[in-house]
Amino acid sequence: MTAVLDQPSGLTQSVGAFTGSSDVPIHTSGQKLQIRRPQLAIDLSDQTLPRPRLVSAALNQLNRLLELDEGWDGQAGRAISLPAAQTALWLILSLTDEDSAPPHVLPTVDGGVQVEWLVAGNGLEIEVDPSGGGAYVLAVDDSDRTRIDEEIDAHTGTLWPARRYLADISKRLAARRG
Amino acid sequence: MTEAVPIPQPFAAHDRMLRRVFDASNTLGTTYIIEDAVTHQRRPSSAAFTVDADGISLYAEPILIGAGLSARDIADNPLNAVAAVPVAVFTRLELPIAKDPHPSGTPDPNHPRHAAHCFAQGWTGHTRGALKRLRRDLAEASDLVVDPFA
Repeated sequence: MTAVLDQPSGLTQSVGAFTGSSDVPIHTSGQKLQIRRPQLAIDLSDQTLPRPRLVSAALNQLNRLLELDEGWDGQAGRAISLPAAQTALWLILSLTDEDSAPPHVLPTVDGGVQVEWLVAGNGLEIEVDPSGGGAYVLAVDDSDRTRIDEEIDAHTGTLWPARRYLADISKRLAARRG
Repeated sequence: MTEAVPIPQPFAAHDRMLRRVFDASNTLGTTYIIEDAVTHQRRPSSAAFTVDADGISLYAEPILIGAGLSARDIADNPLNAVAAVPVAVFTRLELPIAKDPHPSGTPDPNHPRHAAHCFAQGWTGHTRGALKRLRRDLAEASDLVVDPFA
């Protein structure tokens, strides 16, 4: 299966297409079938790609999520949808800069993806719907104040509050790095 | 947040409720435990506090201890982590705890841990943002008491 990643607005570099698959053996009636799972891919050799280490790590995490079987949590966890993973990658590319803290990328039981940062007690979490079209942004700072609390259209919504908040909390990590 | 309202319940404020936390770091490469980039403290993500039709599934530590069990006994396998949240936190968030001993549909119905099973309720009538904030507050207030990959 091949899919194409929409270019995140505001990014000038070539992100490239993503293709690829992982073969998953399925046994039925003694026969082995191969289901090719979609995978995200970015041309990491592209010299114009910003934040290659952060993007590469996020890409790997997302591809691990796309390999999860139904019931991955031992209960009713749904397989992670490709659109949700695409949108999560798009958001990571759109929100981060060179100094950004690395995100945690988590599966949600309904087949979506949660992207989350925690920096010196300041949290930012973005829950991407399984459809990949919507997301919920919640930011709570280290004084327990809600800084962002809004549902957004993942592709047309305004991301600058989250981008600014992430840049702000990431300064604490940059300061620690010296 | 409105002023906390006392909720009658059969547990003391300092008692702890235990929540199983998905952690398959070394097999599936994913986990519901996050680490602070600066302090390196680990805690569950809000994603670990998924609300289903009955609420959030929990185990009451006092009942487990009374049965000679511990937090490790609610992990399904060595890959599960376990988080503990004081009852006082549920009270502050206005999430009443209801006992639900020996729930149906479990793969091991005779395990003695099920005597301690409870649900955190009170999830209806909230906006998506309020629900997300409640789940985040539970995650933030929790301590990992079983953390296989710490």
